[in-house]
Amino acid sequence: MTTQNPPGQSTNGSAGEPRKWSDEWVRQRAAEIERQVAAMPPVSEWTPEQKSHTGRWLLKLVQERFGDIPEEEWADEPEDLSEQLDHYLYGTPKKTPLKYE
Amino acid sequence: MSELFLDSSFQIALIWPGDRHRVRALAMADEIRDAQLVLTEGVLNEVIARLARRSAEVRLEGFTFVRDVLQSSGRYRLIETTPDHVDRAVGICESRLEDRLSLVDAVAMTVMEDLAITEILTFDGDFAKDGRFAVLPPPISD
Repeated sequence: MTTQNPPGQSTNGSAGEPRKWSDEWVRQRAAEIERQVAAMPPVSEWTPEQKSHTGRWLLKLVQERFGDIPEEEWADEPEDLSEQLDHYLYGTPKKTPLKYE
Repeated sequence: MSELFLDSSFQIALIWPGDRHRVRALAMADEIRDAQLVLTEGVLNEVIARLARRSAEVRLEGFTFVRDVLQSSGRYRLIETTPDHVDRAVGICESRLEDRLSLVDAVAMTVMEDLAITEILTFDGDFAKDGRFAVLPPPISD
């Protein structure tokens, strides 16, 4: 991996721009990425260059499979599902969650 | 090409629209280029197990997602778990009894050891606690 800067070591963005990995930066980036991914053709039509963007390929696969599932379908899933997956799968006590900026 | 381990928690964060880490998972995923995502059958099984609670439509999409991963021509690498992996994983679980580590997570650690993978896409604190792996997206240190 060549891209990530851990919080605390990241450089501040330009004036008025949120710092990389801050909550605000993450929200802005996610919204932008979702729009871009939605506008892309199906993965089956991607060029080798497009496929080299591994993470975006994963995002497109997830969107193709689960993007049209109605929100009601997920209504009873907890919002801490990913960070407490072992608890919800195996019944183990909840862990101290990782902290993010 | 670099290799990263793709944990079930990261996939769940991307799939479940209401997960508190979804936007962070999206931003992190978009940073990954020219990399191979490594995972085990156990990891996929955890994703499918959670989706098993949902409708037939969602479960079907989950199975198709697994097939997509298998047919991804080199972008994903599914590692076959061996008795040696399991034996060493049991040892890790025994050494971290207080953490109640899952065998799936411990097997993932042995796979990462063998492939010299140092980075894992996860929201599971057990991997950060191990100390050998860089957790992505990067959390704040205590």
